[in-house]
Amino acid sequence: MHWPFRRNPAEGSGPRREFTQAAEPQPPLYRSPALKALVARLPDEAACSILDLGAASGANIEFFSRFRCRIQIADLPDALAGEEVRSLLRTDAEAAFRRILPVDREPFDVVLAWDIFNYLDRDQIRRLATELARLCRPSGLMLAFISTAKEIPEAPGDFQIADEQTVLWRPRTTAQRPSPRLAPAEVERLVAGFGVVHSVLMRHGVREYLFERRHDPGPVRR
Amino acid sequence: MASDRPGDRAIIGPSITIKGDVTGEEDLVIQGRVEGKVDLAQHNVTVGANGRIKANIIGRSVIVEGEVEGDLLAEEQISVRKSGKVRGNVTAPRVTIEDGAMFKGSIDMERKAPARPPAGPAAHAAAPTPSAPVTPGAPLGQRPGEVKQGGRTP
Repeated sequence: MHWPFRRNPAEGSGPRREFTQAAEPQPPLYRSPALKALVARLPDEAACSILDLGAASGANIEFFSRFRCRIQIADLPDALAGEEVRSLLRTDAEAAFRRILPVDREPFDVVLAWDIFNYLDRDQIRRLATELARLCRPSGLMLAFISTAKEIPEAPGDFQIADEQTVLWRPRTTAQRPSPRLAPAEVERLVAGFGVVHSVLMRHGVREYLFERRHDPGPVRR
Repeated sequence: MASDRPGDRAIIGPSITIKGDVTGEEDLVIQGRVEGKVDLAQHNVTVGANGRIKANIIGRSVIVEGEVEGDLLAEEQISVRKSGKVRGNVTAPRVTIEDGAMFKGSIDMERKAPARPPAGPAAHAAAPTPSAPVTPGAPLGQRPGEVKQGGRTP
């Protein structure tokens, strides 16, 4: 799978081009309209609480520090790599997510789900979304990248925010696996506690979503 | 106040295990194991690459190169280096986590210092951390002390 990310501006023509090309390859950057939409909705004054389902990233922490945010790192890629959690996920997904998701002192304003939904089956997505809806305040936002390509990396990637509309994506492995290729209607059905406020299909085969937690998430389907 | 002389710091060597509270009036480098609490509110605490800590740590600044299971509280800065692993909640005006570091817990960078964390190590990385405002510039803790248990290697 190829991810035609935005070109590095330094790769353009210029007298130093040969040195730029000779340098170590840089991780791909790509434009993220959903991130931009998320940042535009962050409050200027009030501190907000963020749940990051990905691995800890110094860049992301620094980025959100300017919004006086409190950040909770859940590192689901690490948790899901453990055999104990994977086994529990197969038998009782709800219990698994309750174990690995943190409980903050107050509901979260933002969830950064990144690409984690690509690595769960449909029932697990539904149960994770239910738990996240429980942990979020009404109108809380959730950012998710869902692949529409045929294949995805074998494991969730690392995402670092470069600026308010650019994300650096670092795959952890070159091995590939089939993508669930969730259609938008199916995503909306699975993530029932949230409504889609922003959805855009990117050229690299990822549909970016910005969800908003419904005021009434409705009955929880078990 | 931090130590005035360069190199004026205590070292808990890699063969040392401390079960109990560690307090003091100088910077500290921990290369051994500590279970309990590390309280050097006015000094720098470094958990070296060999350090294995199951304790809450309070310092002026805290650097983690080893493993910590517990809450970290610093008046100035907390830094988790790429070799570091932290499972707990961290509170400091500035927090840096290098790429490659493992971290699970909460990060609070509001410009106010919370109340001291509980005496024991974090039972759960996601345990809530209470906050309370303090006067800017005031030390997080005033209690003088010393290394109560364990050995020190100069």
